[in-house]
Amino acid sequence: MYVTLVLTHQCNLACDYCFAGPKFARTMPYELAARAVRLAFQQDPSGVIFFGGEPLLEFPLMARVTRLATRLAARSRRQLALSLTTNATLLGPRQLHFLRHYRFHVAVSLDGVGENQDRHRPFVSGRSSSGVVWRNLERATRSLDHLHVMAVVNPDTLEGLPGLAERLYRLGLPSLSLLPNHEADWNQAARERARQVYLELARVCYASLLTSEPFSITPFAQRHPVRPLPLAPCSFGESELSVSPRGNLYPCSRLVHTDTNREARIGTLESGPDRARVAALKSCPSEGCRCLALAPGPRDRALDNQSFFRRLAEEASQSAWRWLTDVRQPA
Amino acid sequence: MSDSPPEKLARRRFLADLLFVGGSLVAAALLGRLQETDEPPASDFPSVNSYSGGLLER
Repeated sequence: MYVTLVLTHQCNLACDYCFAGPKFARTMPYELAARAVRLAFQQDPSGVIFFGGEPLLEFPLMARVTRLATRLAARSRRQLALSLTTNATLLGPRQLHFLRHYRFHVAVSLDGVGENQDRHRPFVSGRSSSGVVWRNLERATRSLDHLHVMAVVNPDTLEGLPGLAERLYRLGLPSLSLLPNHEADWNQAARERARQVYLELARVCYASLLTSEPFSITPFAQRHPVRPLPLAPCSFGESELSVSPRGNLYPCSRLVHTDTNREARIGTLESGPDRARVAALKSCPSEGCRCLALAPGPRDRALDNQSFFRRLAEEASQSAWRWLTDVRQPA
Repeated sequence: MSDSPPEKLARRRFLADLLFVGGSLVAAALLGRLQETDEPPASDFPSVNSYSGGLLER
């Protein structure tokens, strides 16, 4: 079972689009985290994912839970995947040493370089986060073997994506995921610009796959016509679940929010996951991600944007593949 | 990783100039030198979905 531990609702950044909702000081007690870790070993494969808020705000707790999870894995002779999703602001030498030692997969969430990072993702104080994030990210590329970047795509940061991809590629990173902000106003002009940028990045992704230094960009790598990147389907509460700091269970980390959405809950650590509740939520009519349909607030725009970006990913992938085939034709 | 980081980064810098700066004509020149096959070489694709925290498109 993959168990995501939302260690805290608190964050040191103030991203104006954050799907985790308003931030507040509530940390998961160690005893609850230990119980959640044991849940991970009830079903193979086992994984523990540290999430937030910003999980590195609770680094001592995370370290203690990691040591417990590792001991349990060794005792039961099970494989364990350890992951962290972070905004990179607190990735200092001590944290990197720890993450390397336990062979963590680290996913850094960011918006871009310079002003593209700072526009929607400043510190809570309003201060720029770009300098700190990029200094730490460069340090992380030298320390970690499993580092991935997830870039949030907004209409007003879109044009910075090729520059971001280039910088990551030059740093030696193997992969990048594009995560469109589905809540944003993707009007016709923004969608047209998105088409151009996505096509450019799809070309880069597919061309790089012909070299000895491939750069896997989601969503294009999964749509490669010959060798698509395998991506497991969302198991939504079955082989993965998320635990809030109070010990409530959700089928996905997107639904934890402020831990007040009873409609999306599937149980507690005390009671365990309610399989009938999971099945009921899975039957929720939605063409794409169920989490978008289940999250609070008006959903029409988010679902429409999600549908647009799925189509765009297909279009850009096909167009890039045709381009690649054409440029490789002998003159 | 089979290369030392400096070698890898040097290769990345060279390829980045082609992929990001050179545009399609330069990329075509690069690709023209590659083996003519529809199948890309094996790559060490990371399995990214396991650590996305449910954030990746699936």
